[in-house]
Amino acid sequence: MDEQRFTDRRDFLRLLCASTASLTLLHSGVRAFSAGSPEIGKRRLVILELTGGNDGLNTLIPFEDDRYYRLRPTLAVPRSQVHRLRDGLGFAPSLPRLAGLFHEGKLTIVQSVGIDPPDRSHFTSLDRWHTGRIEISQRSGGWLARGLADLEAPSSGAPRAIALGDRAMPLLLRGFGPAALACETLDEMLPEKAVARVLHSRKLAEVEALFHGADADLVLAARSLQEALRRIRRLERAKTLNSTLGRKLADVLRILQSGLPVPAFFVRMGGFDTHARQAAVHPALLDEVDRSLAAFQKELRKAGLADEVLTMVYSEFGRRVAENGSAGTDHGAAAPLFFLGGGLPGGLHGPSPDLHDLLDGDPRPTCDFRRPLAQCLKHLRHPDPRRILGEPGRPLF
Amino acid sequence: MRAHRGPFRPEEAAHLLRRAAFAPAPGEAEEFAALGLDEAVSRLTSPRDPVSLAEADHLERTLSDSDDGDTLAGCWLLRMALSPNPLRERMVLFFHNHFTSSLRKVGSGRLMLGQLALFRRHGLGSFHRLAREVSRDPAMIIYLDLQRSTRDAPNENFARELMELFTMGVGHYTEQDIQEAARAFTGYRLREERFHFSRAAHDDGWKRILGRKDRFDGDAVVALCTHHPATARFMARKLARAFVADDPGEDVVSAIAASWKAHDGVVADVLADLFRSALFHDPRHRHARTRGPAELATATLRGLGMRLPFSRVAAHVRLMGQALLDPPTVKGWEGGRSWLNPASWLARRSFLIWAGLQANERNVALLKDGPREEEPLLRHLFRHLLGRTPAPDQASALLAILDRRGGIERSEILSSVLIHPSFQKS
Repeated sequence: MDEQRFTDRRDFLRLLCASTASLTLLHSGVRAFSAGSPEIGKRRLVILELTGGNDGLNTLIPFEDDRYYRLRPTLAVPRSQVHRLRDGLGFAPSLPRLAGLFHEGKLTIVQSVGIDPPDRSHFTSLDRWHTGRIEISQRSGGWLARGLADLEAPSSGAPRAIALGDRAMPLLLRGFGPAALACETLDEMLPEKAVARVLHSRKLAEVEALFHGADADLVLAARSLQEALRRIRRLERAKTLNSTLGRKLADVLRILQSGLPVPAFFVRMGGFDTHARQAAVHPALLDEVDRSLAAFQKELRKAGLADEVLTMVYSEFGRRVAENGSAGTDHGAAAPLFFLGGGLPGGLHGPSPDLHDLLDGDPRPTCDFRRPLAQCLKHLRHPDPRRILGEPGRPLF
Repeated sequence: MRAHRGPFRPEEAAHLLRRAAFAPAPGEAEEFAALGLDEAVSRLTSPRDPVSLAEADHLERTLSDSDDGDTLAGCWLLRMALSPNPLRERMVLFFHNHFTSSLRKVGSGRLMLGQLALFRRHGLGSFHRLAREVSRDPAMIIYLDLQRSTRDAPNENFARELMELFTMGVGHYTEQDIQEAARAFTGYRLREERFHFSRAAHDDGWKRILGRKDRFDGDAVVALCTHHPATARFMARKLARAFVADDPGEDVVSAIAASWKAHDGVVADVLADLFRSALFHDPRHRHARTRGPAELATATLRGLGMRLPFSRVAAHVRLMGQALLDPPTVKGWEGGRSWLNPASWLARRSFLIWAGLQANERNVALLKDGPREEEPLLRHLFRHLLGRTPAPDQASALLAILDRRGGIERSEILSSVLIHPSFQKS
């Protein structure tokens, strides 16, 4: 290694880091975060996956369709309890807040989204959603990873995407290597106290400045990231976001509020595979979704981020129209998908499921699953989502 | 390969050990230097010790039903850190990133550890044999969908990766070769988690593959691919990136490819040639590789001769960007400079500082047996951990920084050496 260059850079860095000027510089580095990269600007994407196959028909209910009531003798939601939206459709009783957002034009519903032809395996369907491809191979990598790779990397060291709630990197973010982060909770990403004390010490800054020549840019970027994480740790979690899902969204919110320009987030909520005794669990799941998303949107509005942040809520498939013998429902095909915020038009889009024309007992997909994914990429100002998702990847709006 | 004719002092031995053994353990560089280059290389490439490591074997038996990635990866990191055959573990890591499989898809910790054991048995032996064993490995059969492949609907996943990622590389086969090869692998099944060949599901018809026509079966196709001339160069490039430099020159790749052909793909012999070569010991290749996360963690533990809770080490390695047993795609991790970005850099430093905070006079031999005076200790740690000496005024400048509040903690000197950029390299 070149010792002479070391020494030159070293003097420069020592000046930089040891003086108070350096603190100001680091600080402005952090502030520069909020400017974000020119490509994406302030736009952010949050993806919520309802894993297991959410029952679309008991979420967005066709309460004027007799066939719904005939095929679901015990599970159908009574007409009187539905939060009415439009066109004979209404939200489940435990979704009052999302119904409110719909009436305010803040919630966009896309109907009958699915994979055509459907595959009723969780594994295959999830892999298709995550790769954005029908033919899956272990090489594809995720659609979001491929899309983000086309966009300019965030300035100042922010990861390109963060997945919260699971240690394993979700497939949709695979292909970046270390540029995306996956963690169970944000706290896992923040170093433990004793380590943090050393990381933030002036001594360490000086030692690093003494050594790091060739990697000086990396060191500075890592330091700004570290400062941002420290600020995130100091931000309080929104008290209204206190469920399991809520806490994950609260972490997303903390990162968004800190100004750290992470373009995309992925959060997952499980438990939607309701094969038996669905009435005992599904309303509670929807209640958690309703409270969490409404509180999340409210906090985003308060922070002035509601239009910049697009949230997409999807599930790998819907469920069979007819209930099964265990007071549950089996794997289906198409289901409604939701967008919150992001400056989308709101309202109800696409044809309602035709329960007289089913595909092996399931509502037919009429909107290819890649169109909402393309919408997400468009939100992030991706120049050509079709390059990532193929011909079906046309944005919806 | 032209042999290295220069000296083989502790610093050359340390270079060899950084590459072949993750890092020299305390005193190891001196010990290997005393053996001379030939004997030192033989000791690494033809280990006499048995493959097993009682402590890790026990741990794996206890934990292999777990599907927790950190726990399973922790068992493996234990082996990397403690194995008396570090090169064997280095090759397990190499082949994990070559014949990839992922816990996420395979869904069984036991089968994933079984695949690592396969690499442990055959990773230094014949590549032809290894590739054949891999095609019958239960984890691989699940990972690349061989058990779903039937005579009527051959699944091409394995055949494609065999040609593109495991042996020849793109440009040496056609789509038709893949389709025909897929037919040869039909009938590969699992029965009670073991390989089972179903004659009924196998297509034993004529196939035309790589310009030859025969009633090829799976083993024959593996042999066609591993013996293809392009495979030598493909594997040589991978070995060069793992053992020589992040961006190896074509001269290095050609030399390794020639050795691969001469030794018919016996990995230990190719590596022995390489480690004894002038190219390997060329000063331009010192510290020319970026350590991957698992290498960095193992180098820390081996280098310090220290133990840390292994599943926590695995968690650190994961946050550095390498979830062991769960490579991002079938292509594995890209490696080299791509390991370094601000978030992973932060994770690397967090790990090193965490390790440094646990170090004390009792659990780290380098501190216990090192010089009592501060500056000599610093030089001792530089030489042992980094394989270099501090720049002229660096030692005094560093000690001045650490001394500011009066008195210097010996473990602080150690931590400062660990976060030196050279430690990120091997």
